[in-house]
Amino acid sequence: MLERLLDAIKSSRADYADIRVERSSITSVAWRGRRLEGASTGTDVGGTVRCLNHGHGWGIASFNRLDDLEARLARAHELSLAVRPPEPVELAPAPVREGHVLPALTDDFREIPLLEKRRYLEHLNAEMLRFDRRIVDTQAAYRDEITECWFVNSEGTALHELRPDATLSALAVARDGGVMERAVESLGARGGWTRMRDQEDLFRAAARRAVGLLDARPVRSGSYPLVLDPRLAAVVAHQTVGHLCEADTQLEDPVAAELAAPGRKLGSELLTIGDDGSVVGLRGTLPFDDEGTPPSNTLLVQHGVVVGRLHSRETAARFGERPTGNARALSFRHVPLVRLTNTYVANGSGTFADLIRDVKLGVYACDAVGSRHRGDSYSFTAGHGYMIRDGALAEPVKGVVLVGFITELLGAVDRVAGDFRWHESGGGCGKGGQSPLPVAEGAPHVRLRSAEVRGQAP
Amino acid sequence: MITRLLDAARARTQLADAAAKTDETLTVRLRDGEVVAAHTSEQAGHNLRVVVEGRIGVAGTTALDPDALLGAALASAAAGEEAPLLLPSPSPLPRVHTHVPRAAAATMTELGQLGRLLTTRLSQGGRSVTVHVERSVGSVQIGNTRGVDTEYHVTLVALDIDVVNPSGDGNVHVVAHLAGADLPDHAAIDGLVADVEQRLAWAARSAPAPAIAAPVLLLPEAVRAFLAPVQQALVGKAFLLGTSPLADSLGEQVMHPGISLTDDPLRDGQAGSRPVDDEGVPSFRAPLIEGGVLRRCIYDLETGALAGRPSTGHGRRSTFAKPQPAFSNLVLHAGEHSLDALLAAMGDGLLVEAVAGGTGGSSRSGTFTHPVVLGYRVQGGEVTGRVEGVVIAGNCFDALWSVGGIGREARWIGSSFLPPLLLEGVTVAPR
Repeated sequence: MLERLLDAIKSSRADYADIRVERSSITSVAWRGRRLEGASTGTDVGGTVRCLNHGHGWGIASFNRLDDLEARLARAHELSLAVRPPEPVELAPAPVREGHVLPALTDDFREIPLLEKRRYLEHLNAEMLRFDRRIVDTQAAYRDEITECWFVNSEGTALHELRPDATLSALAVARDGGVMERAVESLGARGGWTRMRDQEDLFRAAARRAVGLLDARPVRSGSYPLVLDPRLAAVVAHQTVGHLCEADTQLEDPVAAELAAPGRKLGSELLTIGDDGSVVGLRGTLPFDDEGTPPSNTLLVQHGVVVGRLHSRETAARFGERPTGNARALSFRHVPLVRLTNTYVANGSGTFADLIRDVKLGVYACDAVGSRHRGDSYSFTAGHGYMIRDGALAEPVKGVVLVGFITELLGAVDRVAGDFRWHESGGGCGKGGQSPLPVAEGAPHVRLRSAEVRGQAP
Repeated sequence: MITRLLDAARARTQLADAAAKTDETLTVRLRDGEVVAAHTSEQAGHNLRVVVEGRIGVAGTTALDPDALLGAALASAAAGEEAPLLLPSPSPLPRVHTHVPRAAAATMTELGQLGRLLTTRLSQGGRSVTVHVERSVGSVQIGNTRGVDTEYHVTLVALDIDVVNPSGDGNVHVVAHLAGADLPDHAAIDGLVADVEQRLAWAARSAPAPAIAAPVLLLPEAVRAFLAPVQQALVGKAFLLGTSPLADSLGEQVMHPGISLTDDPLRDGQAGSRPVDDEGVPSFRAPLIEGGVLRRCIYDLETGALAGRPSTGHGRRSTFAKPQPAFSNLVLHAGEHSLDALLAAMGDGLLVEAVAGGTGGSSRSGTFTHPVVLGYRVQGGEVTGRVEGVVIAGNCFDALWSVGGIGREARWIGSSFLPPLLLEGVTVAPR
């Protein structure tokens, strides 16, 4: 395939062109309640051509049929010539790279029969169903996808990769009289079938939480000292600092550009946040991004001050900075955008117990089941929570929604624990209609001296 | 390929159906009148469902390989679940316009001109205007082993406008959308421009938030987010599983008598219009709520079969998954009140243009907490400025008993046709 793409790209008349072709094998199995929703397989094949000419902008053509790449290049070139951006589009220089990154999958999930995957998921689903009589609905889903990717550009770069990705997700719904609650858990991994095995605890955890929420009281709205568990802290970092520091977001959104301008104090000096697509084995890790740049560890906020941005080759040229390897596309149907990979809050010191010890009345918010940010505003919905009373965890609460302004939230951080851990959920990141893109997030427990908490029934 | 696929399937099973969809989309993006990006996309996908010994198997592909697709569907059936699936036989289809030749033939130059026209109309006073213009041409072919073999063509022209207006106390974002099978005519463009100008005028000044128990008037985009729990509650699968709060209320009054909701795939030229669903069931107008009384939920073939009900013609299938129940065009019936009359009726309250939907709350119980992205203070029946930093919260099903009025000026938001909705019992709270 690489030779075919290299041959085709020679026909391009554009100043720059690249071709990305993918072939994916997909398996999905889903149970709903006591019934199999489906167990199916699919094959997804296609590619995208991008052309760029001096004084013009990107012309892009995406397609399923691979039989006339030269015509696709000609069409993308034609579109490029029709584009007249006010600012010239340049690409930061990049070395020519050649490589085959084909990890040896010792437990390739393509070799596991569909029937075995069905039975395994049936077993996991049953773990939720039999957990408690109050579990009235469940969803258990498995999906694996192996994508073979080929990338060439007119500068001579030629790459061939294999990207495995698998996810498991659990949703449990519990009901007691007129009260109904739900809880979700998920897992995603770049590994093979073995990584998906023995996940009974994950599914039992979803059922346990759904049942536990039945008896939890809605949190009372108000300002509280707030402790975020590592999952929620990591999601907050991803959704706020992470997205604000995407260079293409800054070019489009003046609010993001202002909030995340280098040198700006964005949060507490205890906060150091970065994005690292080079961590071995995580879900957001790739050998090369979708422009052929190896990902790197990019510090975004150091001691509360913005110090970096995430880039594609185009945005790096625009800002006079270096590409960071964050140009990612969800699939061949999409163009690469500046995307997060593995976003983290750096470790602090101390334990969770240290964080709550001197809290007289506060809230411990765990996990994130919903989040939105727009401009400088945010809202995060925690999956569950607990009151903190006199330095100890107290009764469970539900309906914990954090709302407010980003700078106030990040500025309120007054303790960061030393219990960092990565979390690889089975969901993903969404941006520009491309979702879910595999990412990972990591953080320790984080405490805010005060934050606005909205209960669902204030 | 679909005929060949079904012929091959007949050798292995008496029950199979397939869908083939193609789409060619041209997208042009303009910033302040200059084309800054152009993207063309040609996609095609096939989805095959087979029933072997009562077990359902599904497979999909974008590679044009019918033999491999049939093999994958049969393997899926071997691991599949039993269901009493009955495929429809051929029957006459209703007429609905889904394809407009002049839209299908629109060139990049024409789309660029459309974007520039809107930019010119909206650019003044330092505003920044971004316009997305998208034109899609597609086909949907549905067939099954009982003889259904039907195909229809679709066009869709979608405009998304984002205006940033620098005001004395910060930038104000106003977004607007327009979508339909045809290129928009002058009247539609005039209406869109007038809408945006109205919002920009309302948002020019900031105003204090109203009281916590003030009435809330939702404009169509906010109505769409607000109604999401109702939509989910009307999906047949939620009835089947007993997880819909409306599951036991067929024929009962479940909300204010002013509320009527219909799924209408037969509206000419709209984004969700179609003569037949993706399982070969002819489309029809389906009243869901009439005068606040629950009339039906929506089913596809399999969900309907499991519930002992016929499909309501709401099967939708993507390339890689089996059909699922899905709405076509959701129509909330307009009322009699002008927007001015609704504003006068509310007196003092919050007019909500857009919310950051989907945050907080439970779609099952109907509770919600929506940060207001763009909202306006209403005092003495007049809009006095934009309100920032508030959320609206409450329970969707409870609030729909406390409807203070329904507007007559409904708008299409994607495939939903929604009027303004005045609600009491929704809390307005600071963030």
